[in-house]
Amino acid sequence: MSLSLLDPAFLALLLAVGLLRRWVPARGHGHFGLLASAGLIGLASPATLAVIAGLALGYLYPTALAIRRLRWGRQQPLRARWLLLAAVLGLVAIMVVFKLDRHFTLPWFGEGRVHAVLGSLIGFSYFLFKAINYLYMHYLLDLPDRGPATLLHFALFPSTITSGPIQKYQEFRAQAAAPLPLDRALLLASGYRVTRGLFRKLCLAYALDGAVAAILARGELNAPWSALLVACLYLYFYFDFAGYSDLAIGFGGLLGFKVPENFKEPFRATSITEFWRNWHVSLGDWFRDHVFIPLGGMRLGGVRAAALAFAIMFLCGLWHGLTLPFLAWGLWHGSNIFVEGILGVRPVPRGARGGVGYWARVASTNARTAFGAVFFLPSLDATRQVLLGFVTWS
Amino acid sequence: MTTSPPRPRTPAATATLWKWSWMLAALFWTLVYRLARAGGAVQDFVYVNF
Repeated sequence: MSLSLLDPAFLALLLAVGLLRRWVPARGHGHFGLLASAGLIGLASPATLAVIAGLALGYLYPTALAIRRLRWGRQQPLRARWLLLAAVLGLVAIMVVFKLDRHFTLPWFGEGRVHAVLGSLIGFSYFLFKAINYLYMHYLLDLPDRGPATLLHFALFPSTITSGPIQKYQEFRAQAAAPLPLDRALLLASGYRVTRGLFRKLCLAYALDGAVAAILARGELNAPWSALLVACLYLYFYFDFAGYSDLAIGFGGLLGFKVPENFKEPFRATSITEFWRNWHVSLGDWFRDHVFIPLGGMRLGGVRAAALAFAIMFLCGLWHGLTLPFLAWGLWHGSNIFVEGILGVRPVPRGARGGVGYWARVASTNARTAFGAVFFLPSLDATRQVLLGFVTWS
Repeated sequence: MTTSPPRPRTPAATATLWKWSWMLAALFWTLVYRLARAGGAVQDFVYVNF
């Protein structure tokens, strides 16, 4: 069994755990959820359980206690802030090592045990977001200590552990105390999301992936073929990730938690800035709440706020992987957002949607985001092939 | 500026029927599609690799 929402055994166990909770007494839901989550992750990927549970218990929990004591007990917010910053930098450093090792195989790790563990680790990039959110919430809010169980459950929540949507600790904590009742309406809603997710991934994304591979196999491309390819690739990413999000939300509901939505009609966006409020929403919200607003946000004013948004998209590109195409992807989206920021581009209000101007903006936004997908192609050669196609008309 | 009229609410029974029909159709199609390509591996979700 693998830690994947496409593995039938993993899906069957998730379903069984979700249904079993019907017979668990209300006061035992927390412990049942934690044990089931740890058991599922441990069966599917022991390395993931060991690393994430180890970091949660040995790093996050004691650090959060110390931040809370400094911030709310001794009233020393500056020291609490420095501790928070140091702890976040420590987590980022671990992820940088992990990413470098994945893409370049760090020589000092060689082919040994550390490399093997890092290679089989799943979901660490998303764990990083949840970990920083957990620490930051203990700086922002005076949350009473409930022991490490809720943190472990949060870190190991099985429907979102591989790729989000990124849950917020304060919401998870509230829902863990009062999980959604497993009634007919919840079963129907969850079943609908799970089947829609499977359909989107196994049928639509699968077919689009085949279309992309077939176009690439043509060899030299011209502009129309390159345009068709990026359109297929763009839709492929949508149906793949929206399908995954459907599964995560559906199974999350079965387990008693309302997992945040990740897509809100992104194809109707009228600017790249608006697009990122509607595509991978939980990631955009995370960067807004943990980076953009704490560093000044819109209070900085036009150019400086736009520069900060550019820097965030650049970092977001590097978060995907420390490679040249992801760097180019971050620069592409970042520069679009920067230009929109300094020009003061605003979304078209819902009531004013329609007409040539509106649809021209929608088409322009989709064309630019689709073009960015070219940097997600699996090889540099494929990316070069498509980019060259755009300047070839024969 | 134009405003669209409010959408009429879908009756609960119709919505439920639609969801059950969708689920059965999607499950059937998924199984048929997968069975038709038995042995052809489906790639995992894109973001799992990050």
